[in-house]
Amino acid sequence: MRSLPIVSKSDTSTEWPTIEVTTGALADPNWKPLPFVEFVVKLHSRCNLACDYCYVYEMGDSTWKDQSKVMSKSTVDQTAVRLADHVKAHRDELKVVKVVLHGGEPLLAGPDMIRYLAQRFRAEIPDGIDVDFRVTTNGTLLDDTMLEALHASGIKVYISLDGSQEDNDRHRKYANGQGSFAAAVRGITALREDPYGDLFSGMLCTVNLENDPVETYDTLVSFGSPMVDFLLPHGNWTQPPPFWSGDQGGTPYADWLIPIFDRWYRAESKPTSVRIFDEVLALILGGQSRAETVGLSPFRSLTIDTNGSIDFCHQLKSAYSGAQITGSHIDRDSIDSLMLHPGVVARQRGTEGLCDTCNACPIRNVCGGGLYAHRYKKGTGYLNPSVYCADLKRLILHINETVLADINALLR
Amino acid sequence: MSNDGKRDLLKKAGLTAAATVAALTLSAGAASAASSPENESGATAQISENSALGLAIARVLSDDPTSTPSGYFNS
Repeated sequence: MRSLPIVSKSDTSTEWPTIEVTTGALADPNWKPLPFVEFVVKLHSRCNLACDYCYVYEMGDSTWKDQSKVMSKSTVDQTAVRLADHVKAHRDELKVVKVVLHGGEPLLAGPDMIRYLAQRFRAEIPDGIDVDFRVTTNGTLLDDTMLEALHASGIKVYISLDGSQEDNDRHRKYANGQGSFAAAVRGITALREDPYGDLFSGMLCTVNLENDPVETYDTLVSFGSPMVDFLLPHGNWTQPPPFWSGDQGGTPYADWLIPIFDRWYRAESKPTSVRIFDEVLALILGGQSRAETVGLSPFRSLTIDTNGSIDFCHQLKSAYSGAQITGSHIDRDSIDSLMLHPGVVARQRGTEGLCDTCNACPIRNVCGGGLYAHRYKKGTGYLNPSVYCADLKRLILHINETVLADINALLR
Repeated sequence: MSNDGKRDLLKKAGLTAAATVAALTLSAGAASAASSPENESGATAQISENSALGLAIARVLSDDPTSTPSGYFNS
């Protein structure tokens, strides 16, 4: 493993993580790089919606304009081969690989392409390794033909929706200004019908402080999804999130999430899973994080863009144009060649990948510095606390105090 | 207390007492009380296994501490 090439576009960059992150890790006898287990495939680079907060099209990055609209079959084939090569090389460490179809709006690629991709990937991945297919979609294109393709291909469905019709349509619109709620709900309704219902795996909601939090939660839960997640809008120290006031100690995002937590935590029947809360609770209890938003679990994901470039996760586009680019491409490079990239190593080093402020924080192991993209600051790169530091601290301490209060009451 | 230590206590105590043990370990000062026999013996039956806390405890108990989970999509 130590003979892997050190590939880096950032050799000359002064922003963290620099090449010294990799050389430092290699000098640590207790560290070894971990293989990738999740592959986000950008099947289509465009979207049929024009949400005004989208990090792909509306923030600092414009590289999507250079992408082909839909991934070609030859790129699908080569991606499957590269992925299989990686899995074969590390099969002792891998039981399952996750393949997440993403975009733009991935369903724009059409049902035939989706069937083709799933078939090609399964054909290349060696026996004994499960392939866990998922798609993240706005739901507006979920008709019977599409659902049949997803069902036949065993692809789980996650739908992005921001709450009630009024709240959702404030930002999630078509280019002509028409809201997307009605079409998304038609898609969700079709998805819940037999035999597709088991595919419905989650709903993703970007936090919008203009919306009522509990009403938003109740609306999402009403669709019967087994999981809901609330995503903090992308932003960083150079380009702060909307309504951010963390520099003055404000915690508007924690203040929005806490009423939802309280309602969720006190539910009398088995609550719908809420990922951000599940993760924080598990970490407080001594468990591991399964999501990158909190905790110190190593990051093991790569993104294959529509033209075949191998990228970091595209959330980094919210930092600056091209932040996701590694310089690698599936036509030239193996997946293994990214394992010692500083941008990968930095996120597999646990506390070694955190800044001094985070390492001195008492809730470091639960927070984990928050989402990597949210730590960016022009000049110092990603070696900073999250721009949501104050919010994360308030939310985590609230959850901690809630659990402790319950237990203390039981012991009296 | 380390995460390994928390998991050991959770397993030792069993799920019915796990909430007590786990939550007490959140506070370093109460960690020693968490392993005492009287706390392991009960008083936590009111925490439903189907509650958010009960489900979280079950998840932690089933975690493989040697596994290395990945991040997951956020969009």
